[in-house]
Amino acid sequence: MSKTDNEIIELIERGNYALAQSQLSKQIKKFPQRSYYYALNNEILSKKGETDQAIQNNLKLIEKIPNDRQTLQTLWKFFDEHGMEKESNVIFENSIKKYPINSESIILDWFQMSINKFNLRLFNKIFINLHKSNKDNRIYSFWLAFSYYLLIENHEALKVSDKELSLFKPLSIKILDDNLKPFKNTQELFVYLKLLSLSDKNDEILTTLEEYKASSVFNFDLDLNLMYLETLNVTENWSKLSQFSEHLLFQDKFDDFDTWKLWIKSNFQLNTSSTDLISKINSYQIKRNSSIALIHISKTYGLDIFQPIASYYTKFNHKLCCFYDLKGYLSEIDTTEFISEVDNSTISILETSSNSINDLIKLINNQKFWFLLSKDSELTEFNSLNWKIYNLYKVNESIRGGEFDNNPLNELLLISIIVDLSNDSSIKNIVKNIYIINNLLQEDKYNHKLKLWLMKLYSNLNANDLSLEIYQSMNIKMIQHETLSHYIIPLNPSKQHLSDLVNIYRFYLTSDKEIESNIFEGFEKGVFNKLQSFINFGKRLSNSVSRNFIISNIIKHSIVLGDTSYMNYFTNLLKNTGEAIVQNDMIDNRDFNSEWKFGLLDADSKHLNQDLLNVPINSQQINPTIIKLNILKYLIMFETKDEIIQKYLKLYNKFISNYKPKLAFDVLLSKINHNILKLFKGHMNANELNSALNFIVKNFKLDKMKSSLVPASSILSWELSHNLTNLIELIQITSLFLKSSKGHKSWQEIKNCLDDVISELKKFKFKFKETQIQQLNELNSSLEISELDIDVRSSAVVINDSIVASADPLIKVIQNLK
Amino acid sequence: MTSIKPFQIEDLFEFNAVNLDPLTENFNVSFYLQYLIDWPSLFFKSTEIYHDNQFFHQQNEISGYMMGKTEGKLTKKEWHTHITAVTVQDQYRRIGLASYLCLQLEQLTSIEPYNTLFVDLFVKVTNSLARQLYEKLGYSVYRRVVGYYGREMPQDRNKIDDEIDAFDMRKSLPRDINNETVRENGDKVYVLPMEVVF
Repeated sequence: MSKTDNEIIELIERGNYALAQSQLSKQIKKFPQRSYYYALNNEILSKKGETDQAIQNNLKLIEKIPNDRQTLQTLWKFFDEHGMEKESNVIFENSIKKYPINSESIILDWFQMSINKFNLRLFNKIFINLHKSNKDNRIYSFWLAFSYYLLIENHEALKVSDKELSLFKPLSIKILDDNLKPFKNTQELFVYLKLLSLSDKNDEILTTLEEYKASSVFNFDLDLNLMYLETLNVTENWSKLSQFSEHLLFQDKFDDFDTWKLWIKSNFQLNTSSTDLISKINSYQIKRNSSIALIHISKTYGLDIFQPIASYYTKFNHKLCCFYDLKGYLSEIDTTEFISEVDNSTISILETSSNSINDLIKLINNQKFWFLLSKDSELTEFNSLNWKIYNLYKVNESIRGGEFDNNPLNELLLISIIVDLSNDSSIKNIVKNIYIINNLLQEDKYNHKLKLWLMKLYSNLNANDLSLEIYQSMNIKMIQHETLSHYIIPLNPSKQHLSDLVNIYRFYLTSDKEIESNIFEGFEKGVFNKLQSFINFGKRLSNSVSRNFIISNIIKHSIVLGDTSYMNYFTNLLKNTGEAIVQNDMIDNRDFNSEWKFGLLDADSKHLNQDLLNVPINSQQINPTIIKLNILKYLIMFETKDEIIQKYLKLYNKFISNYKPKLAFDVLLSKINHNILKLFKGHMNANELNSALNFIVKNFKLDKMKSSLVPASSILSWELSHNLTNLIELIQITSLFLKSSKGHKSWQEIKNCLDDVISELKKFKFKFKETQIQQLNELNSSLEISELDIDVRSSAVVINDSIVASADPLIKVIQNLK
Repeated sequence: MTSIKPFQIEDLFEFNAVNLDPLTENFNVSFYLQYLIDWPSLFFKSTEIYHDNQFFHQQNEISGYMMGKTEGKLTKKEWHTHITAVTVQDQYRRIGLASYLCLQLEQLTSIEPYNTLFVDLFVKVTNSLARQLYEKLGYSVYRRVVGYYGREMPQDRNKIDDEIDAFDMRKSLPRDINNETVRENGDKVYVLPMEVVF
């Protein structure tokens, strides 16, 4: 690229379009045949708002079939940004077809630019071209074969036809069979075996694996060993499976439970006696896995399973894993005898008042077994025993591991807290348990389960600042924003929270680039046993619930606060990607289970209310439909082209029919919202217009909304802020529409409605703040926490401050509404 | 009932129960991807059967993982395995799982294509529990890296500070027949962070 070219690009990036165009016209005069300058000129036209002209010009340009890399890249980006995926690929396809010689670098560009589409069919198309361009290149052959593997593996989602499947399967194997054997490393062999596996050629997999094993050209990695075990299992090759699994377990010391299971299974099939297996294990160093293997032998051979379970229990009950390891086998035994053993263990420890860590862990496991197997009536006893154990050990320093280790003692109390919340999830009980968790955290500063629950409870109150504080104290960052940000978002709108959201969003910007470049590098280095997950990971992150919810929240905050700092960036982002967001499946990567990792949330769990999974309730309401509706709302707002607006309105109508809000206020607001969008942006006949207008005039009144605006349960909950935020957003949006749509006689009626709502809301706000404080004071004065000696007052002040502080920015916004 | 499986990048969506531990670092996505590209077989996880799967549709849960790499020049007798991260979920501690993950890594890198001379790791001077664990596995302190965990680059190698210094611990592997890569009294050998770059 010449110095002048670089200058032009810099001018475009800086938005200095006039100067850039003047430079370009000079270059075009000098080099009239160079397509690149025309492509840049069209880019400028588009940026200046002359999009239609730019598109037409570029469509003409691609008819000339340019083949220099810069032009192709510029055109690809242009069409991609305008959602013209087909055209963006045609540019490369035509060029490669017309100029097949030396097309390799162009095809590689095409691949690199297409990576973040995660389009497996496109990858395959690109690799077919790449393979054609350089048949001698070994890695390209593997790329092509691997792309067939991806297509076959995902054939249902990609709608690969049976005809295609029957073609792809042999073709992909043939690519590798011809000229590429022997394979040089584990990765090459991996691709070949995976393709054989998709064609159900298990015997060939075995032969190939054994051939390579015998040749010792390279050592097998974990993937290949696991594949060998699996294939021996599938093909019922019991003798070899027994030998190989035995070798792994006893020679290589590969202490892997799945391998233990296969060893037992194969020997069972070979009629090896259980005694032989048991004595083989007993001659081996008895460890955790091999102890469970003894249970598994009894299960497989239909022998008495209680004895090995009891032995395991005796040997490992002082380890936290004991409960998890045995849990899956308890349905196989009469638990009466087992629970009696558990009871005896508990009684004996409590009688001796032992304070060792081992005895504490035994008590924890025993209580969990008891909880799992107990009857309803024993729940009170369970809880009181948890507190008894807590009081017995709470001052015992020796139970603590390192400075950063969780105190195991709090495991039982957390279960009791959740049981308590399951019975009573009123605001009063939530506040009580917040006090308890806060108290436990004083001595157990890094306990993440306590902190996750504390965030849940804070979010259920209107205590955003406190949940955010916990989130930050846990040093949650990078990918954890994707899986855990639902604990704090939605945040109440404020300048600080807007900035916090933008900072979280930065993770996505960085990771998008990282994923793109690493997928390319992964292909270059041929890391085939990781690439499928790389692609899935990129796809899962590119259109995820968390990501899109953060984007829609940033826009919502900006609208509510009237803050334009980030609006440009995010509205442009939506213009470029919004349609893809709403048209494609949104993927939910949120982690709802880390907080429940104590092994007791079963389908038949009587004491744990599964509704708590959805606390805070507003997180449950964050689902693809509501996010898509919000994004469509913004797309409709910010789009200038009528035909596109009508397309989005159509989609909005479609999605809103599936939207079932749980809160009465959301139901009402969504209807008003819908009518406002239709009224200002839709094409309606006189009747439809009147109907929409009447609905708005009738319902967009604070008197009408007040009954559902203020939550019936408690004004301290998240609901009031949620409702107010959405109401303010609607006011702001309506106000924006009114400003930009002058002249229609109906608008005056809407304007009157809006003025009334604003005026009523301003009067309303003061009561809301005072009532919150008053309710919290009343709640605290009636609160009893008999189990702990807690200074309720100091904790109450903190919560009080946070609830008020969380509401303050909204109150300010209401004051400034015009 | 632990099974060992290769780590995949999608496991980042599932590893919070492990990574919410305050001593376990959360790296940027690129860091994990780079390890999976450059040392695909040295990044593996331990998994357990997950029993609450009716709710979470999860068959297995991650109980821990090992993130390792190889680096250094053989000619300088520095070709070695490095443990970048080894971590275990709190419910699966005190059962030798971290040690087992370390031993697996040693086994994997004691043979081709790696066949390294030794395995090493850094441990905070104050983390005596970790130091004991590694000593049980045959590691010994090779040197004390002054200011390794500090915010500023230290200049004086004699200015020791337990809070920010690290022990570089090593264990020689079979290829180091004469144990030339380890030494006694390594805790008395002070170096600066820039001196431990390979």
